[in-house]
Amino acid sequence: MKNPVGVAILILLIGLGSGVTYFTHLGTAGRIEAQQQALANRTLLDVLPIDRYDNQPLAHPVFTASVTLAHSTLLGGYLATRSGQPSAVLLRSQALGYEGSIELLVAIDPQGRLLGVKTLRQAETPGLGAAIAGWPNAWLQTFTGKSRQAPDDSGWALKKDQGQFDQLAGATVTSRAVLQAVHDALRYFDEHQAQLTGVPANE
Amino acid sequence: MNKPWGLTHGLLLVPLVGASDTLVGALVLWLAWTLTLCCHGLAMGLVRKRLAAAQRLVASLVLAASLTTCTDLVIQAWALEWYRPLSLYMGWIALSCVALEHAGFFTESRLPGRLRLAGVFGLLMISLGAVRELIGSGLPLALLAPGGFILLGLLLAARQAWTAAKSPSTLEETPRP
Repeated sequence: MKNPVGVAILILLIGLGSGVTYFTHLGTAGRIEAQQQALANRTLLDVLPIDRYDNQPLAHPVFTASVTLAHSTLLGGYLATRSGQPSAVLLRSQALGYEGSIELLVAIDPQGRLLGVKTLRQAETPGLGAAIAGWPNAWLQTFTGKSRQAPDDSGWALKKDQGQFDQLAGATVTSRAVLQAVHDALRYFDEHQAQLTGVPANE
Repeated sequence: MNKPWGLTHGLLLVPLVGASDTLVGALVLWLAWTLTLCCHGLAMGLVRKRLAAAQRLVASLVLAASLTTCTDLVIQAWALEWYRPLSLYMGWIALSCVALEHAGFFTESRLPGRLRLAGVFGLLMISLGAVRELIGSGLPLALLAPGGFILLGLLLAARQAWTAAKSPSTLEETPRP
């Protein structure tokens, strides 16, 4: 390069650019973190009715290492309490859908009944499997109130598989994946109730 | 516009179809793009004369990258909810700046030319965003990229028809937006 002024300007620009970027990053990192936390809280917690908890469930993980189940993986679990009593357990579940992985949040009350299921992340076929997204979701609400015992294991399947649940039209693989993930989560809760809620199961 | 702006203006299609599925998203991306392009043009104007051609490209790259990163961080900090679906298109802003600089957009077109580009792009983004959000709830196709293409085509066709109806004599030279 035969242009010393140009080189000097370039070096100055690079220095200035990196400096400004660095300081902007420093200045916004805390705020971005807080925003992400708030957004995560909001998207996670609307699966629970607001009067159901008075703690910060996300600050109370009951386990952090992921657990591999029959058809899905549990990525995390949180405990919601109300006046010190456990009121719900939230399980983050990941299952394999038709296009990719589906992340669900499954809320279960201390008696093992399902309070709600919410899709956190999905990449299913738009117009078909993608109907699992959105909140509130009519199809996911068909699971509400069900537990591991009612219906029994053979009932926990799509009608196509001799079970008792309707499927999303044109999205058998997606519906089956979600259903099995929900069933997995309920079974896991049933088997680890004491550990998850911190109180022994009342037989 | 006398020069063939094919590539640089073709680049505008990317967010026009990809990021216009909600009105607010389209608005945020357009504002970020306009702001970054403005700062980039001003800063390049200050240093351009003192740089050799090869150095100009490097300077433009550095400027575009730092400006876009800063805009990106600011949007993340204050509008994270809108940032999520746009994150992919933030990097495109830098690409657009460098491509426009490389094609000589900042040296050849004066203020009216820049305002025109920003205005046309903004108008298209906002009208597409509004239309797609409006009919997207009933017609999921409108929210997908192919639907965006079709709507953009319909929008341009409507404009063409309107211009033709208004002044049938100038039908031959209807400018391409």
